[in-house]
Amino acid sequence: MLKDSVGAVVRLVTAAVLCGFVASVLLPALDPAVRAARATPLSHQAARGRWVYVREGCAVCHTQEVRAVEARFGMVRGAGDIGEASSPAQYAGQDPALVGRLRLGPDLTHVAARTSAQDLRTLLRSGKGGMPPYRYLSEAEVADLVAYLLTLR
Amino acid sequence: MLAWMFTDERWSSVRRFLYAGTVWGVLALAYEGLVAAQRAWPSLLADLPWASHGRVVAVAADLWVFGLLSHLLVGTALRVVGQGDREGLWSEPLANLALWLWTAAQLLSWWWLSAGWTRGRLFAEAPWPVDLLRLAGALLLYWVVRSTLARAPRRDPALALVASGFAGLPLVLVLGKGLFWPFDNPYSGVLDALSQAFLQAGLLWLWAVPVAGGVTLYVLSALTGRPGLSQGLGFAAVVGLASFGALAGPGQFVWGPVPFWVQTVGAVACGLLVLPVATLVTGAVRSLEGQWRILGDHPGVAFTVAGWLALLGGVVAQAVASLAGPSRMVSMSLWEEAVRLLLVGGCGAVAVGCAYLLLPHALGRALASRGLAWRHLWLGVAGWTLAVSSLMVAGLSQGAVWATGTVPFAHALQAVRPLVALSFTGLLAAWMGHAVFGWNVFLTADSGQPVPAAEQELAAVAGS
Repeated sequence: MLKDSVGAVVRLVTAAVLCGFVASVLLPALDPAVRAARATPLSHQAARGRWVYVREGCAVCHTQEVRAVEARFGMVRGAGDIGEASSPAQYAGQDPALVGRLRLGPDLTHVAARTSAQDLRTLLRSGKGGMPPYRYLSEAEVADLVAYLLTLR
Repeated sequence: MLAWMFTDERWSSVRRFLYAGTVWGVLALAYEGLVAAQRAWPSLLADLPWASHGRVVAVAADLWVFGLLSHLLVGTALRVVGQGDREGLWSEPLANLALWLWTAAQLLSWWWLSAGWTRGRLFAEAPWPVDLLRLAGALLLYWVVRSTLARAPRRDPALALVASGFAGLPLVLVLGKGLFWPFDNPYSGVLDALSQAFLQAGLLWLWAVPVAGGVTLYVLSALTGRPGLSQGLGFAAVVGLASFGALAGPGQFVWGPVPFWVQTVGAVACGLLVLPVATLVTGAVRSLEGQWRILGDHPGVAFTVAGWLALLGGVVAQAVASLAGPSRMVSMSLWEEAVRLLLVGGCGAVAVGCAYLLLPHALGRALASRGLAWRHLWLGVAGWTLAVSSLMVAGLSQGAVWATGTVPFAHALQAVRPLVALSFTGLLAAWMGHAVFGWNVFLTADSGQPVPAAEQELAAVAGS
């Protein structure tokens, strides 16, 4: 009796999970706006910098997602400097996609449009406000990370 | 050595999963406390690469979900499933093999994530060898549970919920982590972001909550002699969790860069998830109805009830946050962190409560100290309440300030720093509580009073 019942439950759960995965993950990827997105290749240095970003878990505190409701309105330092809303094209080819979920540091989607390389370097070395210093990173790693951040326009 | 590792001694795997969950839990809460401390004092341990904030957060999430929650849930679930025909588990050695695979995975994950070897995907940070070990363990456990339940003489909605969780975990790991192509990430771009969201939702709603619900209903029914859910309601809870849980991921992208219809589907699913959770809470209440004194008699029951209240609060808070209006304000703020703590903390409290209730049935010894267990309960409830409420207020403050569009980001963050420090205090209390739990488990295993064999049985009353 229970054998049949457990079998039915397992089949049902499997079907529901597969349908849910198709509907919430695969189908959106077939959306025209998502399919039309093309990846912008990174330089070798920026690609290495992106890996430093991933390794140090920068996405834990920094989002790369400007929501439609805050585009050009939300602020990092000055009114509206958070920039334009994010689009699927921004993430094309990203592995992993660095969307982030928590904003304990400013959004970095358009960080290069409002910050210089020197400022970024200083910030990474010394920290500021809620940002810890990353003194253990080598000069090369900092240079790579800055090169990656400067691609975020 | 091998004979000891893969012993077929009755309930050996249950005991080991409970011990492992207890130990990983002490570590998980220590890391969670460190995360909160670094948010309040950003330079804390910043010069140690293995203790830098980004790495510590990844380790904390991994220890919580796969260390504390999964081990305790498996330990309690195996005890309940093995009770079905009073013959124990279908295969203790296979369940023990799963334990060792998961232990190896947890140790490797702890080491590698601390060293900076990560996949960089939220809740899927651990490198692929760890994922494969976990998947192998999950498949073995599913096999053991399925084969054990096949021998059971009667239907029970609680056991069906447990079975659905054990069926859901391998699916979530394969699809959410992309383990059908394990050596590389098969996803990229928006597809990757959505699969991360699927994984996060799946680990909670397709794995932890169904198992926690099934174990709770079974144990409470065995204690009170009253069935929790009818067959129909149990079936509805299984279907609801599986259907809405698999669709809830995109609820975190409201106003974000995914197609509008996906945001809508995610938000609706987040709202509908309240129904199966409320159904499970109703089942627990029906079991306890007329026998509320048990709540004051046994800290395990109180822990379980507190956990379900937190889960109910968490799912409502998550549903509200996925609505278009509120999400403008609380999305990406510390409110989301508070909701995460409510949900995983609620599940953790249910798992710990069930572990308290099942210790005499797994170890054959009475709980060493009820006094310590009550202290654990109050430390946990007070600590968790402080941490969650302070983060919720901090999140609302952040959102309100962002909505003005006139205050620089750093100023908004500075303003909530005292609340973040308060959340650290709460998590410190929760960690102390869990350390007390660990000590109590050790005392019970070491010198608890033996329980007669007849009293170790755990016969639940199934709903009709």
